[in-house]
Amino acid sequence: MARFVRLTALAILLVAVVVSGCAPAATPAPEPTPTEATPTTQAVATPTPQEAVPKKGGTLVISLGTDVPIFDSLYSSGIPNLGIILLVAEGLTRINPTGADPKVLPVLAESWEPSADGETWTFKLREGVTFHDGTPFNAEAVRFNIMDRMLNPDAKALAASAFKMIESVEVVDEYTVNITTNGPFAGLPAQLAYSPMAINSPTQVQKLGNEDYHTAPMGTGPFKFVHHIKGQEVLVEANEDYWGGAPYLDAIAMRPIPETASRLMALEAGESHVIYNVPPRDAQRYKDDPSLGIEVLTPPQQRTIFIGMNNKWGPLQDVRVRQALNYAVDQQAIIDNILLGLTQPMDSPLPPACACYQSTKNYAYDPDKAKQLLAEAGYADGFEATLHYGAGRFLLDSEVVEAVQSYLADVGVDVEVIPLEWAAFQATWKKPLEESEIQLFFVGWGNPTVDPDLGTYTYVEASWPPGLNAMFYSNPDLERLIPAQRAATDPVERCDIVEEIQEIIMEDVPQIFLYYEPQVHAKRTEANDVTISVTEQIDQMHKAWLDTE
Amino acid sequence: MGRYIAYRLILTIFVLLGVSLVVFFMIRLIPGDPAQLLADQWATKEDIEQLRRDMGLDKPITVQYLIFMDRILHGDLGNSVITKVPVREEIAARFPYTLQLAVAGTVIAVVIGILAGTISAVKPFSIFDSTAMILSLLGVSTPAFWLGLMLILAFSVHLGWFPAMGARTARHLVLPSLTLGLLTAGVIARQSRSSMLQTLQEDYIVTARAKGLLERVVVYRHALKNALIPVVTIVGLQFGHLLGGTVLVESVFSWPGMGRLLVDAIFTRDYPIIQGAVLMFAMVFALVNLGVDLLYGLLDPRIGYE
Repeated sequence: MARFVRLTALAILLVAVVVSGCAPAATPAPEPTPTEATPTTQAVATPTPQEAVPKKGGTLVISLGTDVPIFDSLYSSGIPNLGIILLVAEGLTRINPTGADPKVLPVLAESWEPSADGETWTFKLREGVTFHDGTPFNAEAVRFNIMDRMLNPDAKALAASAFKMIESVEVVDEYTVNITTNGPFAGLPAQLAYSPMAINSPTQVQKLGNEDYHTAPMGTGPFKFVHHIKGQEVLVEANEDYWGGAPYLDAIAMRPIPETASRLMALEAGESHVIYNVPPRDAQRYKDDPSLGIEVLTPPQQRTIFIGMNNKWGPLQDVRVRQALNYAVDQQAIIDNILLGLTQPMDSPLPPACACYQSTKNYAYDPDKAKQLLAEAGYADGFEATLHYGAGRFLLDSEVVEAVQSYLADVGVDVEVIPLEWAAFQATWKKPLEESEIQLFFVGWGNPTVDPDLGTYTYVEASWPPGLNAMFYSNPDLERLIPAQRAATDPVERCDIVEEIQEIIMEDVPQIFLYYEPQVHAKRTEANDVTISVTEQIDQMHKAWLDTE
Repeated sequence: MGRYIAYRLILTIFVLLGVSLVVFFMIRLIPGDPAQLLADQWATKEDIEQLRRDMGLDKPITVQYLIFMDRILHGDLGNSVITKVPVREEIAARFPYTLQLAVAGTVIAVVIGILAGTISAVKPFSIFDSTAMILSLLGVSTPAFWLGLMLILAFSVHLGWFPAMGARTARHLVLPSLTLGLLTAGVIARQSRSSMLQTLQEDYIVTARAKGLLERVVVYRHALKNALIPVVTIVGLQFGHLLGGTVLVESVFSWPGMGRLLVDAIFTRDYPIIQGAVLMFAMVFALVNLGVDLLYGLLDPRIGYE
């Protein structure tokens, strides 16, 4: 027996030795003092009273489905991931997390106003703020971050295209900058809230260079960067000198959990306090069973989910056909049965949280009207069409597509569903008109600035693929009105124009409007004042606190 | 022996060349474009083209391959087209975790597998044998994904003994390596059993028994060593597979290994990472196989290397 054990051990050892030659010995990363979050019933029995006094201390663990690609907003992507970076490096402005008015709130900029011609915005900056490395935050830092980093072609910023309207940044005095755009741009304050435009310490960027800046980023945020262990953990610690008041938490750890089922279990086991993207059925389970000590978070939505129609293809060129398909699909039933009522039907091209949103028109389910419109258009017997989508990208997408397929079959439209992996779908979807094979496609559009500029610009001809307008939709009135809203720095005037835009789109129906993608997240009850914004990012985390002993 | 190893290593270089060629062109043949995937809502055609230029993807594909090969010969796997981080760094951050998991999983599998297989062979058609073989069949056919989730449910959510996610301490290693070990043990147990059964029929075993040796000595000293050769092959192959990263187990346990690195890179079409990771797998696999072949000689001195 002893010999057997020795032999086995030898065999394993030998194999291990052969391979260990090509990699360093595996040492587990140091345990970064996790919060003791053994599930207790204490937090459950007594729901935190309204007047609860925040407690200091503790490490809050957040789990997204993906890791932060790299801890530098210049090269990172994924809106929720960028939200983690914003804990360290803030922007000039932020979007109101509740989606209410005012839509844009001050952060490092205290106030702003446009010039008479609308081409220059003057931003008054917050005084007395310093970066984590001690560098003072001022107008020059803003100029540096916009002109020398985001818009510097050598920096190869991923989101440079979102800021290309900026022509120059002028330092007026220590705490005032003038940002000039190539033509009036009413949405600039909202645009600057777009998270890649986080403000980083110029000293640190120059010291490390853009390639290495992610190893020791220095912002002005409520938390300071500690480490980023790839695929495992981002750790940030409280910035006691934060201008908005010291955070209650000692630290925040973001530990990605790609698998949904595992993410739910980590929450239930108390290993994570906050998790992103909870399937509606599990959200219902948490709501039904308070003894789990889990609270479901459903922040306002900003993403529109729809079936795009190729407006240049066959039957879909006829507006009556497009309207018919809208009447044919029961949005409310899809919302109630698949999404368990967690959202509302799409009744405007803009999400409800967006400035100038107007509930415009809802194509309530009416299959008879759909058939009648199809007959008028000469398709009484229906037609055949393909529907492409990127399976698994959006919440319960396969289920929704299947439901749409059956609704359309009811009015005689025979849909062949073609699921693709997301990257392959993108390649199919974003082909120019002459190469496009797209007829119907299921997709969602994010509106991270929750501003009508982005939400409407996707409907102009200039946004045809590789832009987002894969409906190949165009309307001469919109070609005039959409640039007009961009130039209208007077909010009332702008909303008048945006209202008209929404009406035209809802009448032309380039898409089958479905719903706004629900945000469904969850947190343990011991985690308090955790805000997830309409932008899908965590927000104001210096106010969050943990109620643990 | 030295010449044999040198010969095998040279062969490995050709294998890697072949792999690099296949992987390089294959990932570019499947639809999808990293620039397009990264471009945000504001990006125009020109912006996307600029992104592609920044990624070095605008050049003809053969030129890209030559650049890639030139870099590799200088020991440089290139940089991620998305995060711009060197591929070498990304792999160095992940491989130790994969190695940890593969070694732990293999140890568990080998101990359980060989033990169960040997005992089953010694007492064929006994209750132990039937139970072990049914369990090993279960092991072979259970999805890793399901077993992992069940272990988390039992040991993390309900009992709270082991953490459900991450790779921060030794305790984090327990559930994922147990999942891998239990699933791999089945194959090894079955292989050990049949190989042992065959060996026990050999003439020298009859001789050993005729000499009046203890059955224990016959089995463990005379039979086991000879029965192990096909088992070692299986263990080597399994170990090689585990070193390639076990995407499902890594996903279930949020284990930051190579499998997830590769899958994430495939989803974002981060070509340099895919190339680097696949080359790494190929190299590791070739080396493990070499190790297995050398082990044969240790187990059976009649096997020579010329």
